Amino acid sequence: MNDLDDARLRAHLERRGGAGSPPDTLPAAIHERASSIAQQRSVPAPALRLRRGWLALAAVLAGTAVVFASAGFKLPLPAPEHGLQATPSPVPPRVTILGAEDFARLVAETPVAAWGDRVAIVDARIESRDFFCAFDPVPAPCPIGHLAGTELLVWPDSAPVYEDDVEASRQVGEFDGPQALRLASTGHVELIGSVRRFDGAIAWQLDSMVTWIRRLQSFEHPIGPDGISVGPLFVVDAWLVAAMEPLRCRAPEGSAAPLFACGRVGFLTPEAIQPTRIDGDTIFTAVPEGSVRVQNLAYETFAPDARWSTDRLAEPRRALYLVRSIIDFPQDSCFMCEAAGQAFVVARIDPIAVSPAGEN
Amino acid sequence: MKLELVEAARRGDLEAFDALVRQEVRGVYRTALAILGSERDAEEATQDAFVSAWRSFPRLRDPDRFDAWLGRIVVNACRMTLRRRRSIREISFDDRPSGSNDPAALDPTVLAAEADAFDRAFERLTVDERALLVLHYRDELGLREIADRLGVREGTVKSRLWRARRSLEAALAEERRP
Repeated sequence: MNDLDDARLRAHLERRGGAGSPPDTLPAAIHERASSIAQQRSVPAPALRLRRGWLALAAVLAGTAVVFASAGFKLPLPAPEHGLQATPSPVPPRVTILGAEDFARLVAETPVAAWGDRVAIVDARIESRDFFCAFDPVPAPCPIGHLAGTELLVWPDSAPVYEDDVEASRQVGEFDGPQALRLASTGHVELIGSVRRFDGAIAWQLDSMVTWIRRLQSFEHPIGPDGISVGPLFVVDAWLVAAMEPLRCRAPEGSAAPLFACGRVGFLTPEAIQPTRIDGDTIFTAVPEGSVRVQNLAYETFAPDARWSTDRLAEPRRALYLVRSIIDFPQDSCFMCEAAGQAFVVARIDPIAVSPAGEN
Repeated sequence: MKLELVEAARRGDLEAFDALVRQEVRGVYRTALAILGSERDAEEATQDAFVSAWRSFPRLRDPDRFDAWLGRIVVNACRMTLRRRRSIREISFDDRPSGSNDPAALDPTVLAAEADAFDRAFERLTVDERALLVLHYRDELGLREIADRLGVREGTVKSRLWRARRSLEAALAEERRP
């Protein structure tokens, strides 16, 4: 194709966009949407001016009020205001990486009743195999392969963030390197997916993960059924906290992602930051600086020793969290998503003790 | 003047933001239209881009880099719009850019049939490939500026631009095949 020279290419591109004019109504439509965001951010609605003594009752009856400010509130450790006990962790949590044999021994030695959906990071290869599984009347769960060097069968994730993840886990490219494996209560070892390394290590700092996610945003990536495009798995060393549940917040229209709508909003933060502050009769909640918005109820589900103060403020908890990054997100569907990024918390990665080889 | 508006909008001044929108909307819309090829999609992407900018203003650290920052948001908005449309997209005459039959915008040697073939070929490219070609050939941005807008390295822009050009030529050859 020698006839597509620079000048002709430019002429075509000029033609495509050059003569178009935006509709006159466009600035007004933008103003309307921006204006509604501005109101959400700054207006302390009368209903929010509750007496603190009424908060518990009001929260039980209808959720809790939120006023947006511009940043989170760093907690003075170890004894912050409001009686919060943020867990000071002078020693960063360490991730246990098991080899295939150690993991197989752990599986063999631990009764299924004690598995409790724990997730382990295993540096091993998973060899995929074709299995003949029943499809009548409904498709039955079917293993996807086995842990190399062992006879341990590996099954697809039974609780994927998205169904597409199951398919992704079947792709050969997903099978190298450290894997997040769940000891599911069903008695199956499930593959959640490959965990991305950072400079040879497994645990990421929050800001490094955010930088990576932003880089991934510039690449082409498939979009999921809710308009959400998920990215790789990360193990991140961060604090998990929840905002006080809002009394009132406008549910995003046609919310594509209910877990990111109104409710007990969760954040991963680089430090112990409390998103909600009570000042006299008014509650302020802010998106913490440098935070990653995670799904509602993540704090209750995954924070170690999740606990609320008498003011119903969540105490930030530091741990290693396994998260599925979100590359693209329909922002209009997301409440308090002015964070640096978004992710699903999939599990908490706790230390795992394995008996030495040869020991019973 | 523009810098003052950006500074004020960063502080949450909605009037300043409105003024900024009025100033920039035409350019943003035209870039979106060149990338997406549909007035409806371009309108949606333009709206989303400005709303996203308004949401993200507090994170704009350097107001001097507003153009690059907004440019990146526009490309992202185009990407999202295209993905939403991809499964249902049908090119209709109504979707064609209004300038497509404007003789003044065309090189006289470019025939309507060739324009059709070009548009169909262009639609086969990814949104990132389209954005690269639009920013470089139409908006005449240099590699460094494009790298800024897309958040990638200059060398990456160079290689992707080359690949985008090859992809377009291949798609065009396909469209012209009898």
